[in-house]
Amino acid sequence: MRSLLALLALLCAAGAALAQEGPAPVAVASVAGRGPIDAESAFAGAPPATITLLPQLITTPFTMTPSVASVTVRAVHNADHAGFLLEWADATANLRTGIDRFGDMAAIAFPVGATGAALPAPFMGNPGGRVQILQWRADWQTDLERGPLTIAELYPNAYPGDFYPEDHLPPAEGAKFRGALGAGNPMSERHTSSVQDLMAEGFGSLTPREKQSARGRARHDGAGWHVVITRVLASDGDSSAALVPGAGTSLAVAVWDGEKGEVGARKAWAGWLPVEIAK
Amino acid sequence: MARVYNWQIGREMEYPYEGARPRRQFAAIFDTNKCIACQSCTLACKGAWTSSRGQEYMFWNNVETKPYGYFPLGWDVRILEQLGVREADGPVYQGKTLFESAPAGERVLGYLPDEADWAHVNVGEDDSAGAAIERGAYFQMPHVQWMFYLARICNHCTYPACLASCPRQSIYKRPEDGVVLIDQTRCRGYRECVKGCPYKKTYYNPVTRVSEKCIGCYPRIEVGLQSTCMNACIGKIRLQGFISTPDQVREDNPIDFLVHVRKLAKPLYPQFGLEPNVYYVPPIHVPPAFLRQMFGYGVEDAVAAYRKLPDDKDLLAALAVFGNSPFIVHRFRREGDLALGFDEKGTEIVRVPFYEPTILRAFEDGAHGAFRHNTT
Repeated sequence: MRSLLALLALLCAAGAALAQEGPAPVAVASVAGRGPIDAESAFAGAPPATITLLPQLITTPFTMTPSVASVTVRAVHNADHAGFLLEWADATANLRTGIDRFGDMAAIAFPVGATGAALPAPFMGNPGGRVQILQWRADWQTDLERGPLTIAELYPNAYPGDFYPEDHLPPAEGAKFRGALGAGNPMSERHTSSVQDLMAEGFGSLTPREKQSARGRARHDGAGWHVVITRVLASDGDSSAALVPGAGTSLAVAVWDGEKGEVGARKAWAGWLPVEIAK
Repeated sequence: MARVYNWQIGREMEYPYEGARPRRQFAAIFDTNKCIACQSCTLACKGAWTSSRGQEYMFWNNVETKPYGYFPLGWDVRILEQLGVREADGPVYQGKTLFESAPAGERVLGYLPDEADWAHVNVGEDDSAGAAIERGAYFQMPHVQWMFYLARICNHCTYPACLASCPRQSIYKRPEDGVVLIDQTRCRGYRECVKGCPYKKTYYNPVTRVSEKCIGCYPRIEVGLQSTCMNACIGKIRLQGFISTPDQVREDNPIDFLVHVRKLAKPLYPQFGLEPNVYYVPPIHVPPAFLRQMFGYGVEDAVAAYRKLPDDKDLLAALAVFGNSPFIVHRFRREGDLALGFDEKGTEIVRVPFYEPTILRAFEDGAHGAFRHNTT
């Protein structure tokens, strides 16, 4: 408990320091063109903002010492899309989730319909203070590149002729055997993007948005991740924050290291940072 | 943390949520002295609920050989080791529960098993091995070393650690029957429940990427049937029904009678603090210290009562309703040497004599021109 209090004090001190000096804004540079921005080369002219991450210690469960200490963010926008390049050091690429394996992840959050003093709580929002969260998942990207996890990959020595009732039943009946996949859980369904588009109004309220239009592309270079998250500038429906050229907004960020079992609330994060969107 | 009352440890304890008991609570009693580890229960469950992709390793119901069998490997000794040596010398447990032992940042003391821990269910558990072999030991009856079979399902705990661990409140306890379920549409696969459940009865499905667990066969319970693992038990070691709190005991409820009135059936590791609702008639030939650790205070009295069973007809009647109806036995009654069981509406569903009639038949069967052989 003593170490917890010390860390909380550290967190408060860091927050106070940021309040005094004001964190450097994330500048969203303007580039030509339109459509999703998922190439790293698009960020060549964007100024980097290095963001210090702290352990999430506000709600349980938490990990006192998450492994990612900082993340560098670059951002650009074109006529209709914005792109965010997140880069951080991580020597291990955790590409699949398994019974005791966790995947690497990163997320950015925007306030929905609020600015300035009326901002929702920076960490997952609060009741009545909604945030939009775009979470890139290494395991979903691996699905897109290699296909979904197969039994042969899970269990290389498994008998390939195992009988699965779902393969021999009409779809509606077979769905009953497939657990969350049959129940339509977005975590289970086959993905078309490595980024999940979510909303939240406080801890434990994270919910996928009906419209899933965010996209991502990531690369691990042996030393760390380079992750691009792209989305439309305009609000594309309920719980979607509008990114308006010439105006400002705020951004929060979180990173998970799958190697250390970081998942859910066990993460490194930073609260609202000012964002200036070039015209 | 809130304060809740856990009657199994005789005191209030810390729990992340306010206590809210269901309208009635799923419960079961397993008689370890009658289990032969035939795994009929395991297969009945497997066929009913876990035959899809990603569920290959799951056994919502398993039967392991104690003291050296585990599923997953070392599940109980690992958490006991973390909990440390605790005082349990009276009806009020003086040690800390898993909730009260939670380290900073956690809601419950727990651990996440390695994938390999799930990989070898039952392998080697009944094999003769070790130094005794070198000293000339061989398979004989009675066994030279004690052992017993421990059948396990989700305990549908009153204070579930899986539910307490889930940061999304994706796990809930049904108010109508106390069955603990993971919402398959809400879970995001964090595995906090797998880490938190000390009995390791929640399972991560790597194909659907969310966690799953025993559902207590609630579709059967809703129509008055016992869960399929109970129904499949050829040894008739199981009875499933509903348990009352100690202040609401109904003596004609066989579960209440065996757990509360006669205290023959004991919870599994009550010191964990979850108030588990599967109760065990303890094995009678196991060292008392081991039993005390596994089944808590008072287990010696349960063993003594079981040894006197032939002379205790009321206790016999309660045990005789085990496995004799697919329906849930809500009430039972003894009439002489007969055990009677009734469903919720009072319809008789069990009529079992204590003693089967003995019939002696001639060696020669003249009607069929054959000779009878005693093959037993």
